[in-house]
Formats: sequence, C-alpha cells, structure tokens
Amino acid sequence: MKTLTMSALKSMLLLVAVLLFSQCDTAEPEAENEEELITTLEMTFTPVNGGDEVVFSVYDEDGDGPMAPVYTNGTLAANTAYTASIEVRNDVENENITLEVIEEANEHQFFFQISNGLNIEFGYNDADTDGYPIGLSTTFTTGAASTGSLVVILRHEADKLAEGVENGDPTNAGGETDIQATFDVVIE
Amino acid sequence: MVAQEDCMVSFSGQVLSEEEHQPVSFASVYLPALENGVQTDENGYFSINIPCHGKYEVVVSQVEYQSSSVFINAEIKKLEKNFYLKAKDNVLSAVSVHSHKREEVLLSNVENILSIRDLRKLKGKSLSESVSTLPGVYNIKTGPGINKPMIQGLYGSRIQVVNNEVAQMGQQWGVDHAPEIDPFVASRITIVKGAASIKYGPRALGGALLLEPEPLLPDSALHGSLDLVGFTNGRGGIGSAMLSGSFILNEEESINWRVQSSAKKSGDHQTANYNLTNTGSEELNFSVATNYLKDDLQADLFYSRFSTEIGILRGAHIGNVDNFFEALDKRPPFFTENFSYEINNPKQQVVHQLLKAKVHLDRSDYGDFDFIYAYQQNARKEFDIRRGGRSEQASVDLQLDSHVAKLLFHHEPIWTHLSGEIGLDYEYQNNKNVPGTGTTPLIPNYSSFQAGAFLNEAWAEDNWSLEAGLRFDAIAIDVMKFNADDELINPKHQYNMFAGILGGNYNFSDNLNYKSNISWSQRPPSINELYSQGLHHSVAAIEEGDDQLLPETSLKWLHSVQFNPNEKLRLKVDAYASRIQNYIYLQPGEPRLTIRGAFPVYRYQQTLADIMGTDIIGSYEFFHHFTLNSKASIIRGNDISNELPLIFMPADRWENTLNWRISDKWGFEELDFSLSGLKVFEQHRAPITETEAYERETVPVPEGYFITNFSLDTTKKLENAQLNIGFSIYNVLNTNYTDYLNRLRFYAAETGRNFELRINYIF
Repeated sequence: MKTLTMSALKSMLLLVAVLLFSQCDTAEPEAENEEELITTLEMTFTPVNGGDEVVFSVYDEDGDGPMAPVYTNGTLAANTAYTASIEVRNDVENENITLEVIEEANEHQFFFQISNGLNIEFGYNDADTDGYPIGLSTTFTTGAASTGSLVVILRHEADKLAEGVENGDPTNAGGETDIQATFDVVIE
Repeated sequence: MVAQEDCMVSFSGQVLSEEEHQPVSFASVYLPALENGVQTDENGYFSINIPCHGKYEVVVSQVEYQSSSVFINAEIKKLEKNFYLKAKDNVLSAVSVHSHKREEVLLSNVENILSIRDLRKLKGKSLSESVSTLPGVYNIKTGPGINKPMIQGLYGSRIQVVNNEVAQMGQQWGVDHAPEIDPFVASRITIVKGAASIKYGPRALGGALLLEPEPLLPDSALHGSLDLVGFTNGRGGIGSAMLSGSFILNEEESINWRVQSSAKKSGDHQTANYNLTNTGSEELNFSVATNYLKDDLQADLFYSRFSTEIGILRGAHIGNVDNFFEALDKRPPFFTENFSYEINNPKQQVVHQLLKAKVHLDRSDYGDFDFIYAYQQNARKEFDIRRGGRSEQASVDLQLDSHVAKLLFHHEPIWTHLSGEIGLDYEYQNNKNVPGTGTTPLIPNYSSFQAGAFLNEAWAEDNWSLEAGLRFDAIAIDVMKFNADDELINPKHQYNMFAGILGGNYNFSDNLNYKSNISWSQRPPSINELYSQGLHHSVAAIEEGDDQLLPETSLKWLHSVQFNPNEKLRLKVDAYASRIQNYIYLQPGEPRLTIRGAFPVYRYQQTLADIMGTDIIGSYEFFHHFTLNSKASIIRGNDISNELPLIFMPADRWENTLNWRISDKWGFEELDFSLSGLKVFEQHRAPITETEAYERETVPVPEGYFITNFSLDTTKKLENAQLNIGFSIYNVLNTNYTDYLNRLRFYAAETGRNFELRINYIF
C-alpha cells in the first residue's frame, strides 16, 4: 500500500514536471499600431472675398507619448471674413481621420474657445444628420487688430443637446477630448 | 446497548464557541456509553433521543475546538443543554481527521474569520465586500461593480488571495481588477493580517485572504443547497445551486463529489438621487470537486470556471484634464440615462479557470504530506469608448497562464511539543497580450518563474507557544516588449527574496491571551510597477513604470490581545506597526502636453514608508442574546522620505451593531435581528490629491459619512432540510455620500438604499 501511494505520487510529480516546463517561453509580442492615434490637425482659413490661405496646424508624432506637440501659427487680417476648414490626420499611418469624423458626425463636434481680447467671432457652417453642428467647416470673422489664443477642441460622444453646445461651448458637452490644440493668433 | 423504546428522552441543544458565542457547525456530540452520537448542523444545533433514567457522559468535539466532556442526567422528558467549546489555539497539529483539515495559519498570526454563518448573511455580496466587514479590512471600489480587498492599508500585489489552497493568479496588480472568485464556493474565509509571506510567498507581504470550500466527506445521502438572492438597487438577482454525494466503496474507501453553479445579473445601480448608467454586471460560475478518500490517503480533483462582465460608469470615461474638471462638478454625471440592464463600453470581461489536483498522505508515525498542483488561465478583456467603430475591439486583451505546484510536509510533534511544516513552492506564469487591440499594451508579455522553500516550527506548551519561520524564493522575470524606437527588447530580472517570522502567544488566564509576531518580508516589484505604460481613462492620467525599481522590504510588528473579563464583555485589540523600505507608489509628476491636451504623468517611485494602526472589536451582552458589537479601525501611513502622509490610506471608521438572537420562537429555530451604524470619518491626511498634479484647484476629499444597515436572518428546520431566509436593508436612510477608497468618487456618489432578500435551502 505504502509503495503504491508513493509510486502514484512519483508519477504525478513527473506529470507535473512535464506540464511545468513544457511552455516556458515568453511570447514574442506583435507590434500594435496605435489605431486611434491622431497626429495632426490642420485648420485652413480661406478669406471669403479672395486672398491667401492661412494655415494653423499642430503635429504630435507620438500622441500620448512624451514628445511635445509642434505648433504652426498664422496671422489673420483684421475685419475679414474667413471660411475655416479642418482636416484631422494620422500622418504616421497616412490616414485621413476627417473621414471617420464625417462618418460618425453625430458623435463628434469641434469647439472653439477664444481668449479675451482676441477680436474674432465664429459660426458653424455644417450639420450632422440631426441638424447639430460638427465644426469641420466654420466661418470666422475678425475684428480690429489684436492677439490671443484660439483653442480648438474635438470631442467624441459629446452631448450635442446640452445647454450651449450648439453655440460651441463645451462646458456641458461631456464626452472625451480627442484633440485639444491651443493656437496663438495674431490679427493685424 | 439496546434502546428502550418505551422511555426515551429528547436531548437537544446548541454547541457554541466559548469566546464569541458563535454556533459551532459539524461538531460531534457523542455518548460513549450508548455508542451513539450526532453531528450538529450548520447553526450548531443537535438533537438525539436517548434512553431515560441514566447518567451519561457527553463528549463534544470539533476539529477547530478543544473537546469537552460533560455528564448529563436523563431524568426529565425533554433535556436541553448548550455546550461551549474553547478554540483550539495552542494545539497546532493535533488535527487527525485529514479530510477535515482546514487551511492552517501560523499560530501567532493575527487573523479574522468569516464562518459559514457569517457568509450566509453576506450572500449576494462580492468577495471583497464580504471580507471588508472584518476589522482592518477595507474595500477598494471602482464603481459599484468592481471591489478589491485591502488589508491594513495594503492591496493588489501586496495581498495574496489563496482560493482552495491555490494562489490566485490573475491580473491582481490593477486597482480596478477584482479577484476572479465566486464567493459561493467558500464556506470559510480567513483574513491573515500582517506578513503571511512564510507560507504564501512574497506577494503575501501585506497579508493573505484564504477561501476554503466545505470539506468533501463521505455521506450516503445526497445533499444539496439552493440559494436565491434578490436586491432592489440594481434590480438584480443571484441564483446558486449545489449538489453533493458519495459512492461509499467499502468501510474504508469512498469517492465523494460536489457540483456547484451560480449566476448573477444586475442592472444599473442607483445612488440616493440618480441612476448610475452602465453599472450593470453579469456573472456565471461553475465548479466541480471530487475526491477519493481512504483512511490515510486523499486524492482531490477540482475544476472551476468563473466568468463575468462588468459595466463601468459611463460618466467616468473622460479624455483630458479639462474633461476631468467638467465631470467633477457635474451631478448627475454626464451620460446619465434611465435604468437599464444593458452593459455597454467601458466594460470588462474576465474568465478565470482553475484546475487543481491534490494528494494528501497521512503517515501517523511521522507526519502528513500534501502535494498540490494547479493550472490557471485568466483571460481579461477591457473595452473602451473608441472611435471609428472600434468599440467591439478590446483595448486590453490579456491572457495569463500559470502553473503552481506545492509540496508540504507536516511532521508529527517531536518531543510532544514541537510541530511544524516544511514546504516547497513552484510557480510559473506566462502573460501574453492577445494581438489585435490596436493600442499599445499596458503591460508587456512576460514569463516568470518562482521557486521557494520554507520551514516553520512551533513549540507549544499549555499556556504559551513560540514559533519561528523562514522562507526563501528565487524569482526570474523574462520580458519581451517594444521600446520607444519600436525595437524588440528582452529585459530580464532576477530577485532573491527572503522572509522570516518570530512570534508567540501567552495565555495569562482563560480570560486574557496575548499574541505577537515580528516579521520580515520582501516583495519584488510587480510587472506594472516595472513596465506599465499608458493612459488610464477613468482618471485621465498617464502611468509609467520604472524597470530599475528595487524590491520592497517590510518589517512588521503585530500585537493582538484578547480579553474577556466576564461572560458579557469580550474585547480583541490588534495593533501593528510596519516599516517598508523601497515602498513603491505612484508619484504625480509634471503634466504632459499632447495633441489631446494636458495629462498628469504618474511614475512609480520608491520611498521609506511607515504604516501603523489598530483594529478593535468588542462586544457586550446586555441580556441573554442581546448584544452590542463594536468595531473600530484606525490606520496611519507616512512617507518618511518626503515627510508626507501616504496616499490612498483608508479613513478612520467605527461601526456599532445591535444584535438580538431569539431561539425557538414562532416556529423558527432562530431569529437574528441586527441594526448597525457605520461611521467613516473624513480622511484629513490625504496628501497629494489626483489633481494637484494637474496644477489646478485641489479636489476635496470626501466628507465623513454615517450609514445604517438592518438585517433579519431566520432559520427554520424542515424535515431533513433547513430553510434560511434573510432580509436586509442597506443604507436604510438613503444617505448620499462618497468614499475615499472609491476610485470613481470624482464622478458619482455611492449607491443608495437597497432591499435584499436571501433564501437558502439546504438538504
């Protein structure tokens, strides 16, 4: 009896030894592309009555990574109406994310926050299927010469029905920020 | 002895523990003269017919208690007597019935236990919610669905959960990763405070949580139980069924089996004032246990599968720091909708499987052996709110395979006083990121080996004991990941960990017992502390590991005094002080600017930390079975190097419960009323709030709160069966409050009033 149980124990140990050492390798990881990475926002101001385009852009190669975003700012003319169009891209993968925003227009909205002292006003030019603004196309009208900042925010799953959201105020919109770019604007 | 049919006395009563007057289940009540006996039921009750006109010796025994022998006089028609058993504190290994063997804890260790009776009242609660009813144990929440236990200020990678003698191998490093265990399997849960490293390895530096199922014993009858729980907050229900039986092969041998399954469904929970959208959950669990028993041999096979899907409060999913501050002021939270059972993103899906084999050999001449092998597979998927139709795609998809093997030898007492055990541990883990998430993995692929050996010996005399233990573990971690330049790298880590304990206890008298131990233990940094990398959407923070971290070393001194000056007053005071060198914590650093806005960056840092505190539990019996129970816990943590309090330490708390137990009334065997009030104070020592890192206004810590709970538990004896019905109201006053240990406290309050009905039928 004693030998029987001992041999049972031994064979079990052996079995376990096989199981334990059979798969000891760390799996080699597969490289994952950061599929939702947005690297670039480009905002092009075209004067309504003709003239040179002004481009503001921000480029952040590594998204949430440690590299800081690089800004290109521009100068707008005083007392001028502009049509502003926004393009969003992933330049690492050569992907145009603007298309994704259009496709999911009901879940996305751009917001524009203008600092005190910067003489500029804006209005939405586009709408999603429910008639609420998206902000890929807007009209900006400058006033007298001034300087300040323009914050461009893209929110995903924002509540478009919340108070002030239709007019471009993100305070009650909720959702999550996909882009938040702060441009230095000079109007002269 | 021939029974005299014409004159029989019904002899009945209850067996209770001497210290806490808690029922002792499955105790044997034996009358040697009659060669007849009976076992107490789960509530400690027994009943047997004995011939009248006799004086008999009654021997009452149970493995966890010292046997007691009393003489009774069977002169009257109905004889009732209660027995009080003393806990078997000083007798370490006198356990001879191997199949009854409970998970043994070092005798100088300070522990708290949830018995089958306590657990019955807690059915429907998660594992962590259940154990947090014990003093010194806290519950870390991520909304209502995710609960993680904390023991005396430590949690996660510093606590070892041991399920059915097997170290639980899940992704325990995550604060929002709850233990993947079905609490219905356990018939007893033990919390070991202080370093349990000697027996359970380096991860038990902060303590251990042991879950044990009901022992599988030969019984010719088919037994089973059915549980139904319904609750209003969440409009959910739980059902659990268990069936067990035996094939008795002959007088010596038997094959015993048990199957069990439980299912849970809950919709959105509610706070006092609003719905918590997307906080529903589902669970489906299954287990089967079987063993072969012979007088000196026991072979066990156990399989369990746990699966769950848990929704996370929709309003807690945010983008950047601005979103955080908007959400902080918003009540009800963003995205609050009407009640629903739907579970949308963000959510977690977890499947945990365990296969365990065990052989136990009893050699009465020199000791007993245990050999345990277990395979576990943990699959965790986390789903986020994603753009471009990617929400069906998991953002976190981890599969952890692990093997553990344990060999234990428990020797018979030497020189009648020295008993102890020696053990070998082996552990292998392989963690893999399942490809296809389209995100950078939060933790890398790795495999880790751990081999350990330990020895523990105790010298026990009648009124004192002394013990010492030693352990050594060698740990190797092999990591494969891409570095910042997208090159595949293969870093390796190697740690040699030591642990030691010295302790003892002294019984000054039957009324006063003192225990103390001092332990030294080490823990290697866990994988997330070394390599974590990524954004946590629920706190809008980037978390970064540091692969240069050193192991933590903890020195902890524990004291426990049990004082029962008279029959009415009982008092237990635990006090502890610990110093942890290289204590690993998350330190907020400079915010990082990205195209998405600003994020605080938290990095794992090390410091010298002190944690000390006290847990007090007392009871006073005003009159028969009418008792006031009081529990208080105080804890203080200090970051010595930076001269700051430690972050995320629980606030002081004090709970009082009035308990009234009535026996044999209105057709019930027992009625148990309790009304409790829990006061949690404000945490004034919360140093670095999440938001100082944002260089913004400070987010206030939650105010103190007071909540009341009521419960009524009944026991009714049926023919060959028992029916337990319980009813509870949690948060009776529907108080609106937030708790410091809830990670979603920034977005919503705690849950409001909840009515719960529990039905438990055992046959």
